[in-house]
Amino acid sequence: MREDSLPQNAVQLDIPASLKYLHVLGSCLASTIACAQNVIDPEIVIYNAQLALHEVCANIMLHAYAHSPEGGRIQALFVLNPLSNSLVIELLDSGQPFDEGSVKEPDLAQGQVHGYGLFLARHLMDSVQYQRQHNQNFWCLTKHLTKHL
Amino acid sequence: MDVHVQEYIVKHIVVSLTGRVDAFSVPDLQVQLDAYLKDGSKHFILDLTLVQFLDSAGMAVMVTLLKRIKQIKGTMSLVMPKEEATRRILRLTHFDQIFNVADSIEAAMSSL
Repeated sequence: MREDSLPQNAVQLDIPASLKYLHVLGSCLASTIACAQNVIDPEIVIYNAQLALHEVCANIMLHAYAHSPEGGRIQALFVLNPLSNSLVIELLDSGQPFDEGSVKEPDLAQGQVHGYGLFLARHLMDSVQYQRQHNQNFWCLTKHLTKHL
Repeated sequence: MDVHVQEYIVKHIVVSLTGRVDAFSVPDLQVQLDAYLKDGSKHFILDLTLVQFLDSAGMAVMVTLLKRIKQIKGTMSLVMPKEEATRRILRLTHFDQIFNVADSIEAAMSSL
């Protein structure tokens, strides 16, 4: 998460890492994107960004904090960049590290019970990056808002 | 001439979902589907017409049901959502190819 001062149009949230709060993030993200101008196909863009955010956060809640019965928290930052017409979502949590090597692409021909979460996030956003920083998990999701879908 | 007529009535379970089908809400759905399976039901139509948001946890419930239905030689169809964004997700994950899909409950019933 950014340690310098936040951009003027940044929206910052700090929520309990509980599934019942997922819709809070989604609603706030939709309102943030609604502030952007010249978004092509805004309903689809909002849905896709909400779903990508939802999948990464659900992953944090169910896996990173799986062994934290007292629960943890997720810090979320939404930033609209008017110069690049893009949305940046940053997420920070204090859960267990994410093992990128353990994630396999789902078998789309057969269908499978697990494995669609990050697949969706990566396909719905232009970029999904993960880093382990100072014993915390940092996710950065980027979406260009004026690109044809 | 002897005429011997037998009539079979096949029970279909139509599960219509509305709103958000996500990690928070699907445990209740899974419990209900389990109850129908335990009761011997083999033929399901999952009506997603009014679903506004579907995540991977919702998809997991659908695939789990499909795998169990195949084991018991039943049938399962999906009625596609009206919401275009949700339809796109089902196409992206090839669920429109893995499942029998229809645009209405009536169409799903007639294709069985």
